Amino acid sequence: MSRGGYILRRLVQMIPVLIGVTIIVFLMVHLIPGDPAAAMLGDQATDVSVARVHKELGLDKPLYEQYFYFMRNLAELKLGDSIKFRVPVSSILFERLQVSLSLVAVTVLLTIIISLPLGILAAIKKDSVLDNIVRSTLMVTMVMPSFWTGIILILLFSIHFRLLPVSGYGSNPVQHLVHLILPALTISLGLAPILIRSLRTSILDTFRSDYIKTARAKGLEERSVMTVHVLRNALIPTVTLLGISIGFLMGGTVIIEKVFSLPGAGSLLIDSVSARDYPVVQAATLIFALLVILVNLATDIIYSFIDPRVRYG
Amino acid sequence: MTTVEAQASASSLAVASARTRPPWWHRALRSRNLMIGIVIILLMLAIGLLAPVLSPYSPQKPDYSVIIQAPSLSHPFGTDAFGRDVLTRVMYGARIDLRVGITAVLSPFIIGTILGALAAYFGGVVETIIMRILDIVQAFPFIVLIIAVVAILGPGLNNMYIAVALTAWVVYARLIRSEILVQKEQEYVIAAQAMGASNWRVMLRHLMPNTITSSIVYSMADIALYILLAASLSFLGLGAKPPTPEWGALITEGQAYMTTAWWMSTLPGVAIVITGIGLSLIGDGLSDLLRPAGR
Repeated sequence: MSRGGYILRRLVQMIPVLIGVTIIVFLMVHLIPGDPAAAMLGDQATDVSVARVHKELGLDKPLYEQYFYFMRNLAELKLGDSIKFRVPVSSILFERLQVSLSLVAVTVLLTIIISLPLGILAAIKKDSVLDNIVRSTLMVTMVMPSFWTGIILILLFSIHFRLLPVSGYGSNPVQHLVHLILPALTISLGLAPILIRSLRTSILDTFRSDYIKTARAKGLEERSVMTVHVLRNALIPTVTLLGISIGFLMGGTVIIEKVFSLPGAGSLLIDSVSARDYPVVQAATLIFALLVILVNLATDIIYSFIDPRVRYG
Repeated sequence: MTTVEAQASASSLAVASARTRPPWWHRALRSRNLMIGIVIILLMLAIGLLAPVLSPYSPQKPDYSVIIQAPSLSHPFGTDAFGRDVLTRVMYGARIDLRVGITAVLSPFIIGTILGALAAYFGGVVETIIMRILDIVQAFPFIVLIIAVVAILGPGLNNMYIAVALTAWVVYARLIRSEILVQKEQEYVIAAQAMGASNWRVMLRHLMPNTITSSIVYSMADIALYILLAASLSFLGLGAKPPTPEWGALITEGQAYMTTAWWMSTLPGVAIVITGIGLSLIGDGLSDLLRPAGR
């Protein structure tokens, strides 16, 4: 199969997943125990207001018809109105999403800066003291609850050393970046162990392959063996892993935005859960899933370009 | 080859080479990781169970004469805003968090194993349906889906179990499916089928014992994951409610006093980290133990 065919097949495969995701998100409101309208209104539920919400959400129509409306609105990017804020969900969500995506971008950058040198060092100096320190440190950072890590980083860098802001997002791009450093570092400490472990293993595997032995036998300098042959091949699974980790990353932002009071889509999701603002919960859940699907697709496509050995089977 | 497939072929080799190696308990006793991990977890369990004997304080009753005191000999982890001994609360928390982790892993393990086995063994429409549902569930970030389910059902640890059962089975289904896909072409399975063994018999007597090990190894790391998840949900206000001394809830309570009383939020986290390390060591040790010799 050609690359074009492969990409086309991946796109077709995506369709049932997309439909399934929209069905789950659509059904969320219907799975609320009791009357969803009453649940959304909470203490303010009266017969009149419940009837109004029923009408607004189309809850009085048959299920398939509701789903049809839901999908039609989705196609026009209409995500409903927030019950709490009384404005269209899209107007809040997309603004908040920019914060979350910036956080993801800074996190990815930091993770690469941390993982690359440590993974390479751990592999080159296999079984050395350094390798053991890196590996045992990773075992610890991997099981640290991210919000706890965040609190410790705040105690250390913001309260003790007074280097970085405790929380918030600032008001201009430079301040935004400064406010994102600690949250991004927090998520990185959870993600980097996975990448470093994978990078170390794939470098060690590459060392054992025949073409590396050939390159060395040819008398190539160790430095160029490392950069030209080993790294190029060892990086491929690592990049893929980073792409696959987007779910972990997006999930991480939800908790970390709460720790650092960042006005992102994740903290919007949590606040909306507490406020029973279901249209926002639905929309945020949907957007998170769509982002994961898109990034996974992009990873597969990029992978098919960077690794010539990929078989489109 | 994916890692899952690699593990699958690895464990099939393990079966072949098992006879020439020392018995498993012999190797288990010599596995440093496994032993250290087991000791850590047993200690945590003991601390949780013996908390009333080990500590002179109550985990819940306020004592306003000693509020917000820094760690000292009489209160090694300090006291909180209600004058409760933080170490005592952490010790009682071990009961909650270990139970939550172990309970949470059971249903995804069982559901995933059954669905994965059905998909791999029967193939065809059954497999397509199960694998498509799996793709859909995996499209959501795990924590987001858990939060969504908890949003629908309401906060609390019991609803977390339901959320985990609904979402986390996919990993086990994938694991067991790839194992069975390898094993079902093996001669012993074909022989059993040829001798007229029923599908159930082939599955339960022959396939399951040879394919379940990697899921068991994975479930150890998973227990740690659910302890982290329960802690995170408490932090987000969707899990255990105060004054329950769940570890995540303790960290969250302490966050409000971060600037004045560092011990309240930092020290309970240490319990989570130690438990997590114990479980990872058990997982690593088990996977070494079950890995074929010479690799």
